Amino acid sequence: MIIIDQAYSLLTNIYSNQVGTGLFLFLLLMGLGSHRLYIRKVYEMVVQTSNGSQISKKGLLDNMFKPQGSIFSATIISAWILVFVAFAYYYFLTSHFFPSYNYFRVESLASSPLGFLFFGIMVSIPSGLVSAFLPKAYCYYEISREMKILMMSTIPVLMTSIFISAYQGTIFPHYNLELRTMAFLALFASQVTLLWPIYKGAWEVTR
Amino acid sequence: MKISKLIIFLIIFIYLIVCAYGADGPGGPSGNNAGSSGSSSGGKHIVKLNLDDMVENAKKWKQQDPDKFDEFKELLHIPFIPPNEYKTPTVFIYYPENETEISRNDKLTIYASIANDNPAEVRSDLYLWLEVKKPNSNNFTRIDSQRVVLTNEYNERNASSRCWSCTPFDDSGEIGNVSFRIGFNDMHHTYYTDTMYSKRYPDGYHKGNFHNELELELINFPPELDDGNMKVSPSLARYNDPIKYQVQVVDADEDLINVTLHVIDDQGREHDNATQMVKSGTNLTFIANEYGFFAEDDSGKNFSYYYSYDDGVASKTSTNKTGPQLLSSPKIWVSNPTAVPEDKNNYWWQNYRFHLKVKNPDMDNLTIELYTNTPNHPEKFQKSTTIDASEELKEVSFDVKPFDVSDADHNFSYYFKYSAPDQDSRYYTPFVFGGAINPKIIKYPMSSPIIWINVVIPLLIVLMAGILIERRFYR
Repeated sequence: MIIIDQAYSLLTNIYSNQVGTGLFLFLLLMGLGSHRLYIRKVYEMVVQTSNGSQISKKGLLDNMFKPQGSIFSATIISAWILVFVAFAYYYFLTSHFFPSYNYFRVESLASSPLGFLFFGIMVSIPSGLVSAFLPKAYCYYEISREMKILMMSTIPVLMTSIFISAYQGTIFPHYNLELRTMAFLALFASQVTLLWPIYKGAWEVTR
Repeated sequence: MKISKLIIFLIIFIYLIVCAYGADGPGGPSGNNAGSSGSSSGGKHIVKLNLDDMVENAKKWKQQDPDKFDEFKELLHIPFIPPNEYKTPTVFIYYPENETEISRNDKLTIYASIANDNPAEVRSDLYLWLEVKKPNSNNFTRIDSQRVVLTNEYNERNASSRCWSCTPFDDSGEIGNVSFRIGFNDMHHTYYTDTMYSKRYPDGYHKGNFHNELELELINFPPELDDGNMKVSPSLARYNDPIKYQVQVVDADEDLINVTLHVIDDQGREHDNATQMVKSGTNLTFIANEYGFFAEDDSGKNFSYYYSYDDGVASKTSTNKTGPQLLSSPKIWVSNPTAVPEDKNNYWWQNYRFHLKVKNPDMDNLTIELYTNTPNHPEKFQKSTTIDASEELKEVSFDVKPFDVSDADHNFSYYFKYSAPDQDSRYYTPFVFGGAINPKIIKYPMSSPIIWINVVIPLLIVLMAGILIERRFYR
């Protein structure tokens, strides 16, 4: 029981403002670093096995590029947008995590009938610009069908996180700790799931 | 013949009698003969004058013909020729104090020091008087009463003295140099000490405390009033309250101080004034209703005041101080201000009902306004209403939605304003604490369709965006 309590306490510390946002950014940066490492290692391996023939990196990337399917791509684009939207709803909707930087600072807008809609759209636009080109990275990896299904299933999970965060906003300044933990885990798990093929690819080429 | 002689004799006799009655006597009074008695002797009418007639006549002559009167006076004057060995007594002023500055209230003790070297049989009584020349005056005036030194009132050294103890300047309105001299009459002549020794002592005689003319400087310390001690209480009062103006004035010379209170209205004009004459150090009080400073018309006005004060020489003025503020006369009675939220949660978006009980027997069109107060909306006007005069107690209610989201999680208070003074002579109630506004910001519950619309629409947009981006950039 004590171990569970301590684990729960550790978790609440993790999703607190600085640690949680730091973890979110760390996972993103680690994904970016893993992808670059993966490309570099693959290129080195191909160069080593080419018996001195000239191989351009661009040519290699072109050869490696393998579309993952339109449904998958569309779903992954939406999933990545939802990751950023869920992150914004979780950390920046209410003043619980960042009292000076949150949507409820603009209280008249936040409390208006379409306040949450406005917030969602405002977050979605930059998220869409960032997320539009992320799925291209998946075209250089071998992703199993099961993995694709798992990645596509992050959409309802992320929607759940967003709904929970919206609910926390409606009961602000009160909050539900269990639901908040669930929202964080949903966000964290979805982010890891979406980045997993990249981590895995990097892990395999460096093994 | 005898008969004719007798007739002639009778005619002459009758003529003489008629002539004797028609003539005036020598030295007879020119006017009033009352009190005089006359007799005829040898054909002349003689008028006898008593002393009263003589004095009366002398007064008339002096007025009617002064020159003739002077001539008459010289005829009557018999000059005294003192004996050859007679010496004029020597008189000086003896002033025992060394301080030459005096104030108006100082009691001065001045002596006449007399030396009379004449033998007793030659001496005559000496009449002395003290004279003073006040500041900015060219003439000496006699002060206090005359003193007499009889011929036998000298000691073995033929000296004597007389004393005057007086406060000759207590009513003086001026300060500066003052001079004293002694005048005396030895039954032969009149002398003044300031002039009688001018040949012997052209620069005057001043030896020790002896003077032929005593010169002192009359000085004055102006009165002082401490502005910090000026007070009016109560500063907020009704026009007929016993409003007290209090102050203390002091004068180093212990002069009587003339203190005038000037009451100034809110236009800066002098509304009224009152004066008291007080001793130094007196705690002076003017009670407004004793002097009738204020009337009912003055209700609701703000007054100020200052003092002017003088000791007869120096005049000064205090600073202007505010007060009192006169309360208005009550026209209405208000009570029981309350605020009742729509429900007990005190959410910012709720309606609140504010109540005030008002009794308004006199005023038609009485306006009552409601104001709420929060940190983000201080003294915010909410609503007003107008009621007419009524003998009954009325409850005025305002049903308003007074707050916005920025007021959430703050305390609020409220008050009412009205267009007539209430029982406390105020035009508003005090701030009434209303409680804390619930910190909840979003008024829609999660179950509300509007929240679902708020959340679902962005999610649908995101899904649509994924499809559109894929179609645009991935094919």
